[in-house]
Amino acid sequence: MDKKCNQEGSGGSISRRDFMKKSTLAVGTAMASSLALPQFVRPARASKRDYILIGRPNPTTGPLASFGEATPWVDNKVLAEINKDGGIYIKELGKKVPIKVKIMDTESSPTKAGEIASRLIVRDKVDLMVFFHTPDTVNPVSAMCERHKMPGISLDSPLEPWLDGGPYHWDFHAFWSVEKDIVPVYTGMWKDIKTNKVVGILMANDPDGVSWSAVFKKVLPGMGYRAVDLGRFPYFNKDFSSFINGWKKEKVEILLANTIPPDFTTAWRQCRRMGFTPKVCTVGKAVLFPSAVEALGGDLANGLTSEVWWTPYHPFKSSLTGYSAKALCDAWTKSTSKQWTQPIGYKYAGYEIAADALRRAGSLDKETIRRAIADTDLDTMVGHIKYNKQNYSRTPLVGGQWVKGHKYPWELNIVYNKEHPNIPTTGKMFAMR
Amino acid sequence: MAEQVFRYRWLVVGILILALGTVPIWGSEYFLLFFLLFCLYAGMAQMWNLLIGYSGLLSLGQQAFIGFSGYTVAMLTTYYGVYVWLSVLIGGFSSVLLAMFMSLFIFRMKGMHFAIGTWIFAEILLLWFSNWKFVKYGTGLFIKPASPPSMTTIYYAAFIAGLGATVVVYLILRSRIGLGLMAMRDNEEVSETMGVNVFWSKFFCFLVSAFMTGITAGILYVFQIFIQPYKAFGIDWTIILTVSVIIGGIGTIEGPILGSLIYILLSQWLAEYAHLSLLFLGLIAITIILVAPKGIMGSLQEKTGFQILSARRR
Repeated sequence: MDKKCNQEGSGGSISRRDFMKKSTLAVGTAMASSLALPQFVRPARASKRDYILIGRPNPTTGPLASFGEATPWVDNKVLAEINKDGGIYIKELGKKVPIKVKIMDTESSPTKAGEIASRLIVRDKVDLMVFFHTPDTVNPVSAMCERHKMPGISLDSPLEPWLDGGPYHWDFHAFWSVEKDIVPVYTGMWKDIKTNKVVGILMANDPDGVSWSAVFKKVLPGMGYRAVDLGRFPYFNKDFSSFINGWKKEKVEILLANTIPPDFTTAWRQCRRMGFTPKVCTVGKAVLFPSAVEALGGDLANGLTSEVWWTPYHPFKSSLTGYSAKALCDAWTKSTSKQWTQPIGYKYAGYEIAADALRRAGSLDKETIRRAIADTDLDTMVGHIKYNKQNYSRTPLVGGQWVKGHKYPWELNIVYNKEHPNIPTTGKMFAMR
Repeated sequence: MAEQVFRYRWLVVGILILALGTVPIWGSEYFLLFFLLFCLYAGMAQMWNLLIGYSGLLSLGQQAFIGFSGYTVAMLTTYYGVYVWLSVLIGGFSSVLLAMFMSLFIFRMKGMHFAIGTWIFAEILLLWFSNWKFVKYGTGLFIKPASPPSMTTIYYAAFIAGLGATVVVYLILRSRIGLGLMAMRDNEEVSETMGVNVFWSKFFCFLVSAFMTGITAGILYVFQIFIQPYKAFGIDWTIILTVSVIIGGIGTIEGPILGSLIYILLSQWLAEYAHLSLLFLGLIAITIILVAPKGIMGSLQEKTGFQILSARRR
């Protein structure tokens, strides 16, 4: 009642409560406007500047954050190497200029990624876009590069969904294909273990789960396997007993999964509790990162297999400094005390391709940069990059198995390399029972 | 001051419309992008406000129309080569059809149940589209019209949609239906006994909101080029609209416009500072709710009588 009186009778004197309210509002508004306005009113920077600017939309927050984790560490490291002796010679400026990068958060959302990419192009006037990590980042940003005629270098997103947006003129992509790389690597690993060739499918109802299960169900029968697919399940499913009972009934010996990490943890724990241990369990996506593997608990991770796109054991070197994949991972561990992750190499390679193309272009003209990227023929941290007519380059994929580690709780051994024998195996595949 | 503004309101409104309508002429490329997003978000926020601020319908399912219309545009342009702006229009009408179908179920519900009902519909659509082979499941679709429109063209479309949404709300509120809506919002039972047709008024607003949201979302996805079910039908949309309308002022015509402007300013600026953006928006929304529960425009109107577009006749 008192409060109401105060509000109604606020004609003359101002009560303390009113004052607080008004001042908080005023301060809040002032803060918001002072934070936002200068950025907004300031005219877009002129293109005449003494550095090269790369736009980097990155999933720093949200469900893809573990992919984006090594940013900005990798970015800073590789830029320091490129800029060490002044950067890159640009004809128009008549001198060497350093590369700078503008990293913006996509919140793991394709909508936001599209908005951010447009903003980087039209407001920050970037000279080049470099972007990575899953279709949710790569697809919308590639589309914006095409619209604004902006040269783009993208990596780390399966080829098939990216190709849907083609034909591409301005964006160049490098990664592996589900059908041409994942299938041979997975089935190749299974050949090492004697099984009855009955494959249980555990895949979520998400883009990867749906497309991977469709691809595998199409190709497995022709390779002598029998697929037991009991359907897709929604995120954060709590009960997998009907799946597990079905697999037990069908005598499944190979479990093929593609899920987000928390769902695999739930499902795998229930499998073991219900006494279901397949001879082989190959998991896409969920066991890419050591943190997710550790979260399984106990010795549940022992023997899980997965796709491997990059490790410190890959025999690749930096085109900038000549140091190895292992040296890059060691540097990461040294400065962050964290175990290496696969995206680190791909992030690094993105800048290698950019620096190489800019060096050959020697210009900030978009078309010249685009042509230089198209002509890329470079040995990078993730292997040889040479784009084909469809603007993509396939990167090598091998198979790995998680084992108890010496330095870390779990370490990833390369156990299958038939398609890429130059990448050495570091262990021998073993059955889980 | 407030009186003066009101006296010259049409001049003020005219200047604002003229300024916004000529952004491609005077503005930089970034202004174009900024006001493009602003017009789209303001249009959608205006429609959410029409439901909650005037009709008393709390919809948590605006994303159903956003995604449905976005996918309609994507399918028509990419698979059937339909002219892009025609498919945006069809997207709007398909949203109306969806709203009619939804209303068979949710108009039997009230208050919180209605809100949850709309949300459930959006979730059903998410599951439907992410399991539908024709739209490539959850992988998403690229929107590839035969001749991709330029940013300027998309801007004019967005401007028309944003302005259109505001005009529509203004006209509805100044009409007989609007009077009924306001009576209904204040006391539904009494207004019904006074002769307001509660059901039809609400139903009408729901359809209008679906149509305009659908059109705006169609243009948004023409701009976005890429659509994917998890975000298109995601609850994030409703959160954005809620935050914009709460900041600007629920139940005012200027509120959603101001709220969207603040939202776009913040989201553009804060994207450079990961982790901070959501935190900051949340803080602002909470502060506004505590300090000025009627939002910036609502509180201004209450305290100073400042108003440009009045829903009431004076």
